[in-house]
Amino acid sequence: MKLGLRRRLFFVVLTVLACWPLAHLILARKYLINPWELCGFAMYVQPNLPIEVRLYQASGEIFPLERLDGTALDAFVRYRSRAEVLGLLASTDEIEGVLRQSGYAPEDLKVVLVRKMIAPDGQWTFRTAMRRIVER
Amino acid sequence: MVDSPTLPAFREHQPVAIVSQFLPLHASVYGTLMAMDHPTSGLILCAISLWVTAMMALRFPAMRSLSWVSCLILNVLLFPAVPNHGYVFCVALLANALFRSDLPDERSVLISGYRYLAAIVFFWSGVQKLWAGTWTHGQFLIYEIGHSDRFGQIFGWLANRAEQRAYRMGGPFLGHGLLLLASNVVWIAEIAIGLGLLLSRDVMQKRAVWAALLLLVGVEFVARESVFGLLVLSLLWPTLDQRFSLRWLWLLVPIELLAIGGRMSLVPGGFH
Repeated sequence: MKLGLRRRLFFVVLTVLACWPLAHLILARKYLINPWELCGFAMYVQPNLPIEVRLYQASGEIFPLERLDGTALDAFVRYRSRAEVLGLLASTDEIEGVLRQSGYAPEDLKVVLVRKMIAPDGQWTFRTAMRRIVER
Repeated sequence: MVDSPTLPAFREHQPVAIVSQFLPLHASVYGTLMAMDHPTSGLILCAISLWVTAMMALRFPAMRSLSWVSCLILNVLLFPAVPNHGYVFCVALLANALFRSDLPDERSVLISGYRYLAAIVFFWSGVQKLWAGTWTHGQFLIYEIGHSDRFGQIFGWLANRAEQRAYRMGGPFLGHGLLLLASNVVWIAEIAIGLGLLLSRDVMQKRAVWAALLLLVGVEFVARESVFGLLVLSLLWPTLDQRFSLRWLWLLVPIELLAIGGRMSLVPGGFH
């Protein structure tokens, strides 16, 4: 491969890497992806606290996870660990499947993620993001 | 990608030649740490592959391409749990695979590529701190002083009574005096260094590199992330073109072992 082509190829990669943190800023705000992860270079910007995952029913009430069996709860634990990094971008396919197997209609449920963060005024703030488990 | 069959290993003593041979070895340490954290067969194989290709690349530079491929696969298997320096490793190893350090034309591209990569890391680290607004009044520092031994040991003495009360009471985290100054110096320096590394004037680049190394030493005292620290040092050293005795490279062995020992909880102090 000629030097010019190799150089262009490398600088394309560098340009993507240089622009990606802009997208990361937006994804962190909108989908609550973890600021410490995914190559946004936002380590030590916020305390790296665990994300909270809640399920809400169509009525607005919290879905009681204790109703689910061990297999379904394990699926939630795995979802939580994916959401820890990917926020709302984490796939809900697995929890959709286990909810169906347990006899619940995932179409009626929403997943809400909550991240505890420090606001610029020095107070704690809770940033939330929500999606339906089954996107219509 | 690299056509030449052999490169006289370490014979040139050019900092960039040394770095381009060290980087695959350092990536092997990164791969080992990731395989220790997530001991799946795929990651263990990738870590072994990184070591084998890095050792072979000492004699056959063409093996650097395989080193990059191993790192790429490791990161794909690890995703989304790839640390930020994992992505930097991948791009640095790509530069290593694409450009030869023994040809003057390619050497200058390689040195610039390493430097631009470090510039991206510094610049965005500073911008993210500014954007989040958690360093402009020392908010993050106060929180960490109260919650992390590493931050407490280094910055604890900067916190006055009001700031100590803030982290005990859970906020509001607003710094004053020295803490405020230290907090703002960090993000301003990161942005300035990032921009400085992109300047075309040789003398300015070197000043930015020295400033970056100074900041890096400070960061390492607190963060103790020797894998990240050595990676950034490797990216910046070729710009300085400071030659050194190869015996100094042995100093890196205990530093690498410190990271592995820290990860295995054999070494206290939070090294990782």
